Amino acid sequence: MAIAQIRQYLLLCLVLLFAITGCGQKKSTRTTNGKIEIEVAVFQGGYGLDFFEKAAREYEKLHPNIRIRVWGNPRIWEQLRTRFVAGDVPDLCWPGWGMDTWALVYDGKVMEMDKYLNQKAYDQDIKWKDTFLPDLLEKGKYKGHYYILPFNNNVFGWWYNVGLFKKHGWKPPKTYEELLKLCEQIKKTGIAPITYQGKYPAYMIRGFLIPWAISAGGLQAFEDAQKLKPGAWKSAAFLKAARMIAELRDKGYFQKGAMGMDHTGAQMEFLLGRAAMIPCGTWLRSEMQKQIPPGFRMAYFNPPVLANGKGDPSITQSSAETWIVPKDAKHPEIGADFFRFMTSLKMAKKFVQEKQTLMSIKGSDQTQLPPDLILPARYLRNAKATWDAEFSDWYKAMNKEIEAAVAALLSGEISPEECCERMERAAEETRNDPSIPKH
Amino acid sequence: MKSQTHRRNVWTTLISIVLLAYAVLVAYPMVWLLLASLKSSRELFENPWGIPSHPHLVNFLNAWTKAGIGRYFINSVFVTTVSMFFILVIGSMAAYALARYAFRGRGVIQTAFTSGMMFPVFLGIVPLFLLLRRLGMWDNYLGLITVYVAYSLSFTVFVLTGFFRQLPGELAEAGLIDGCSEYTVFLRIMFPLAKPGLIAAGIFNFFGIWNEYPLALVIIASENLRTLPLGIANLLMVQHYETDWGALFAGLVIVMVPTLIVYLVFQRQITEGLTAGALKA
Amino acid sequence: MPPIKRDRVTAIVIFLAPGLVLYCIFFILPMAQAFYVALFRWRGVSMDKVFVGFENFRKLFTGDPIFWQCLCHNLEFLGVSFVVVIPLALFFANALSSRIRGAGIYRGIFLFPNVISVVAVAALWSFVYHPTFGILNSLLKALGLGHLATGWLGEPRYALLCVIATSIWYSLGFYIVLLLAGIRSIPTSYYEASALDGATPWQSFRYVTIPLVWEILKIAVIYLIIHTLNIFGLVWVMTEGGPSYHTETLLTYLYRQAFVQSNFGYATALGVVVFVIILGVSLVAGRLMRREVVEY
Repeated sequence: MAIAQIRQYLLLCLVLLFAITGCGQKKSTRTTNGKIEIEVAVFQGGYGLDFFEKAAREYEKLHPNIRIRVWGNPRIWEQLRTRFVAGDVPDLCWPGWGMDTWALVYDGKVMEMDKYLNQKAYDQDIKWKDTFLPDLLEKGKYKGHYYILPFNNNVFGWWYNVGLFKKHGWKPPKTYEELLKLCEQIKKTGIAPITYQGKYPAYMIRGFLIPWAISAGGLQAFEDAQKLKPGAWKSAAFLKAARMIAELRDKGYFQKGAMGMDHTGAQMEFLLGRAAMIPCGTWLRSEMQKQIPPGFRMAYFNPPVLANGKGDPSITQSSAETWIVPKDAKHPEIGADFFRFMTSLKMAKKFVQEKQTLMSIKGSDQTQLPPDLILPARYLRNAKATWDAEFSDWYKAMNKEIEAAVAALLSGEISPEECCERMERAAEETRNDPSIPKH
Repeated sequence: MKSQTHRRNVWTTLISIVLLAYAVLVAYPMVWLLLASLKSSRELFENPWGIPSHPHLVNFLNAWTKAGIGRYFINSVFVTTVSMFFILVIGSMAAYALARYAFRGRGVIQTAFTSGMMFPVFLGIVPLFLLLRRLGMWDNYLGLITVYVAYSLSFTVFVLTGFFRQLPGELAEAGLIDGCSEYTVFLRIMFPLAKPGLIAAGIFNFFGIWNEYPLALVIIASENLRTLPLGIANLLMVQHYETDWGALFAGLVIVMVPTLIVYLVFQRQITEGLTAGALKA
Repeated sequence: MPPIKRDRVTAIVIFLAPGLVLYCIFFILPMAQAFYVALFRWRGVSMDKVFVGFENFRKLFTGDPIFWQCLCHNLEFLGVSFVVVIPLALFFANALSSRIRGAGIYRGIFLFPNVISVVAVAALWSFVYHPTFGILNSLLKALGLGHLATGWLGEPRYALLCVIATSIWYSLGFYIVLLLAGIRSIPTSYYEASALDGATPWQSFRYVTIPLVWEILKIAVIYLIIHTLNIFGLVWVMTEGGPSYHTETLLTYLYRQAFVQSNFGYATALGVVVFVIILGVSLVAGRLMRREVVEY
């Protein structure tokens, strides 16, 4: 009797197993019918996916034998990571800030783009390579070859609430000394002078620490730090910057509770007029699109510098979002070609207008710029030099430590001296670690 | 006599108060969530505490259309129920063997199962991924369900062994003497007696799998095979970037409602099961 | 005699085999392979690995202050949870096992947080603690305690406790149900007998209930240990280990090393160590709670 029951149970199991395997038939998404299909994986952030999807449709019209599948989500690197290990990769991708793209380069997982860059540009009579802004293109070079390509170009600085300033007769400060006076005035009205995206110290590093270090010690002070020169992170320039942060903190000019806010939270505070100024990149409007109150106006300005600082006040931060073609892609040449299409002058200008940010293509700003972009574009054009916190991509461990140190400084846990000590120690560890490739 | 009843009443009232207080503590954030899902994001920032001025129902529309919740829900139901069936059957068999028979190597096997709970899930993700691809079990439910069953065995065996061990041995002996085989003893006598344990294990497996995220993320790639947690996580992230908190909260509510319904339906089963277990013993 | 013995052995094999086989192939095997990786330096983005022996472990114990910080945070997690959860769960389980009014409803409410996805709970409580529109700060302001309002998850002093509080809210129902199942297995005859003997509720709780649910209690404690030492999802979504490592736990640090900083080998070494720690603590707890199994 028991045997019969066991048989029944086994039969049931078998049936279920077949049922599952039946469901295991993966619906094939790569229908060919004579066409070549490529996969484009995109980080879905403040700019959304629609531009890339529209671009794909346009490209398909021009190349009827190609189909492009564009997909993405805000944490796309989580899925891409395992796929890179298995060698099953998309043909073009924007891996996003959560992916260690340089690690992919070091391990030979990224296609060398030299030969594609030497092709003619899509809608101009020059090499594709020459359509890019040179410093942005150079950033993606490793051991003399091009790997990581820039797409859109963000300018990072401070933003202020135009309506609020006008109402009180305030002016955006050009110098740090003016800033202090202004903050005191703002504080009296009950509004927080400055807020920041506490959960992501990257904002505070780019908005406070480095601009002020450059102002105090010149661009060299920062370049030395990036090159991991001994003592660079606790140099007089960085110490001065840390002290400036501490001063603002101690005078209560930062919004209470900012440390616990994430980027959209702090930015909402700014939009609601509860804080007067905030550091952010040119993606601000695009990102907060849905939440901007009617009639709200904001304007960009470079972080206020020391009145008699060593660094040139026109120095601006500019960084690019980066794309790669994976080495193991099935159709890398089509992936590269689609990217070449998207970086054509026409498409670049389109991106500038629709997404209200700058592009890494020369001349892409010669178009009807959205109002918020006019000032950043002007600053960028007039900048004697630009900088970018590249170390945050090169040396991830050191970057984390620096973020922790700056966060601790802002929350009042440590002194400026201790902050610089911590940063220097992190740099030293990275410098002495032979397994980390240096730039 | 009177003072004892009086003391008992005071004690009962005290307990009732504490129970009520904790129930409020548990329920309030979810009530707040419901209210928040009916506000526009701006209203959320300006009037976080109160009733929404008028229900911002478009939040729900946004969350639903952008999230495709219906399909993911069905997927999750399928994956969870099938996994659950196998886990309870296979798990209780293994737990029974470990609890009621003494044999060489029992301790080792038991430790092997129990220690499985101590492994961080994503540690083995990369080798698992490669293994599944090699066996053709990647991006389909055969792989997902198999992995879920394997990963749930630790906890299930752990809990059920405890329950099986507490059962009276004489009943099994009596059954054997009467001429039943080992299997009948298991199926007819011991298995039903462990009902409270099975239900406890069943509940937690059900919801553990229902809400499982990291493994599903790696094993499932096709959008139409996505389970509910993958859908929620995606929704949360997309809404977060679009700063549409109203829709984000609406999405959470949409996801919790089916869970709530399933949960309430199950509730009756739980009550009956637990009471039956108590009465039988 | 012999036929019965063979019968028994076959039975054991049939009962144990399916589970054991599945478990070994899909669980043990990948984990073992993962542990092997601990002996390498590996970025985790391709198959290139460099053998470094025990270098990862050496660096972990001697050159990594963050590891020790994480350990402290996890122990704090464990300590606070243990002191709050176990007594409360026992109390509630006991209360709900008696014929108290609305027991079923209470049980339903208490368990509900545990069936919601951890991601959703973390998102919800991030908003509870939100500096501007969070419930907590609004509540404090309404009670006239507005000066205590702060950016909870951004405060180095409070962040960890806030996360622990959320974790307790989330998991208490689980322990209540587990213990309730244990208490329900106790035959009512025992309670009747003790009541006839004149025992107070406290006495019958102490001398009847506790010994008979000891096995289940042991399971609850060990599960608590494993859960708090293994805590990840909740912390990661709420704070990502911040601010400046103040809520970093062993597993968030592991995840960060593996997937953010591409130190897969190092992360796996940490995984091995975490596993050993949990194993050790559980064994100690199991031994301390050892008692004769009370059968009836």
